[in-house]
Amino acid sequence: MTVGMILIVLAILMAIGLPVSIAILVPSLLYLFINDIPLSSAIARMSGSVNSFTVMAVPFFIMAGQVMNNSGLTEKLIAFTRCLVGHMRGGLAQVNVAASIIFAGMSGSAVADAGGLGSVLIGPMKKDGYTGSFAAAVTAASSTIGPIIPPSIPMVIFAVIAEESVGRLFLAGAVPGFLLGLLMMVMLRFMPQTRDVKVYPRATLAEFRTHLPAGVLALMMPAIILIGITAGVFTPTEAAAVAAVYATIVGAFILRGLTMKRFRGALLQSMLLSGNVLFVVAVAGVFGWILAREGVSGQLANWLIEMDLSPLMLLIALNVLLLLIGCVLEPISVLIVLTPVLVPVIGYAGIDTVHFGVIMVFNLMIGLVTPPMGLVLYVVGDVSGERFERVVKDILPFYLPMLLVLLLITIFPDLVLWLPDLVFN
Amino acid sequence: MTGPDTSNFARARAAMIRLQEHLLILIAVTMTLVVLYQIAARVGGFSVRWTEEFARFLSIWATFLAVPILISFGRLINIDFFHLAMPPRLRRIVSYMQIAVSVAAFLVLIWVGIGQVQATWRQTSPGLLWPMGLFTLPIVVCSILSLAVIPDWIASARHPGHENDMEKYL
Repeated sequence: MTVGMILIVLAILMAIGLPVSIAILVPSLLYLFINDIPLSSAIARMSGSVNSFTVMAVPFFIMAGQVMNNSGLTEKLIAFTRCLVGHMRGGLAQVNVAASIIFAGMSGSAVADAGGLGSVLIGPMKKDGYTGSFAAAVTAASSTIGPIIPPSIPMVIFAVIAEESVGRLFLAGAVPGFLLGLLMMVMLRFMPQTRDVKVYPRATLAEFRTHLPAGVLALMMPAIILIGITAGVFTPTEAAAVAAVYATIVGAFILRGLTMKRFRGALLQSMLLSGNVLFVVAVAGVFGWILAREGVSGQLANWLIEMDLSPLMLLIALNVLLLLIGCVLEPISVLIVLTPVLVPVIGYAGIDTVHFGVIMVFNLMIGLVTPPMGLVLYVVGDVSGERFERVVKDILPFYLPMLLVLLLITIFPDLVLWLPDLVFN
Repeated sequence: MTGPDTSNFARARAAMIRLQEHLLILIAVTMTLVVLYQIAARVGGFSVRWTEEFARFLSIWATFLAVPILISFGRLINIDFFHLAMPPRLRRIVSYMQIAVSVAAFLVLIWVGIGQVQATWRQTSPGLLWPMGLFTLPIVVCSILSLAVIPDWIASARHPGHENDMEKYL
């Protein structure tokens, strides 16, 4: 059984809706069986893939975000961002993007951001004069900032597979994430949809003082994570655990919104969400080993060498490939399957792994808001009650800042590498 | 549309899922405390060699204990775009095919997994000195529990919308 056959079986099983983890597992087991390789190696690799301390950052980061969300911080955070940007043209749309930037520092998942902020903001945005589909589109577009600004679950998974520093990857995502948020806010300022909607009066000093604590509490979390990691106090996983404890203390004793029932709910949610991701990671360990055994990255590297592409052209070609794949596949699956194949190739071309990691995650986040499989589009469609096609139509202009930032970080690696180089060197 | 399954087996499945939920919450708390203790130990200047391994051990169990719950509520990550676009009759047939393929995969994991647990039982982990088989056992347990909740998957294939129960979690 060749890799080509495995990929065909995988594609068919995924297309018929089989859970991604089982769709990866089945052809992997078939490959081992047909090639007379002991099936027990699959069990060892499944267990080994999740038997990693770095991978444990995933449940802790999810836990921190869920606990914060269940504490009622989201509403307070929105009130804070309304004080900051609610007076600008675009009102709550600007608030939506600004809140996503801050929320990104607490949660590493675009789906969580879209669900959390969407459930609180889409209703009020409709009242302020936006159409439901536009409100949903703004929420979906801005949620893609979540996994680019640290902490980021896709970056942790990339770091584990590529054996790269989580701290460097986290810092590398900061500038592109802020840039994307800023460009979206500038674009909202000029969009016709924001012309006749409600704009809030500039916040008074008293209002600002009232809502500032929520903003500070939210911003403390990424600060703890980044300072802890860069100062060498914590490993990324330890920083994630400290963030989860910080979220619990803030939710229970400062915001007082975290009841025991909500706390238990947040813990259970985080374990189930991380179990969903890590089960894919476990079975992908078997699949990755098969790809390595078949020398797929070597073959791909040889093919690219024959094409004689410059590093920039290679990155642009990979951007196109990842954008296309991101349209039809879920990001974690793509990361797990393609990272071990592509990292040796980009290494051979002399491209920095951290630079490529950010580009790869950025591409896959765009995939979350592109049809036909854009998971975030379905989430916001569900929250807003809007039809999928209408949300897709309204999100089209937001591809412009996304693609522009992607192009910029592809052409200018310093936009990505400047901050991690500054801190770690 | 038939009513909810109230058989003894259904009640046993529900009880098993509640037990797994409690275990997952317990693991989440323990995992966090163990990692905090690891930080405190390092800052305090005394080294503890078992914390990282114990945390990893808990993480493996948490991952595989979550799977049967996710299967029960039809929430394992999947791409359902084409599946949902199929006519109802074809969609149901494909759902049964998905279930059959998954059952076969879990049976293989149980069969091979038991052998692997036995083979590694006498090897001990470096920190905790526990049998290495305990680190692969969750895959077997996960597969057995996943087979036990297959009736829930069949029910959701028969009556789409059943999976909405999962909203309480996600």
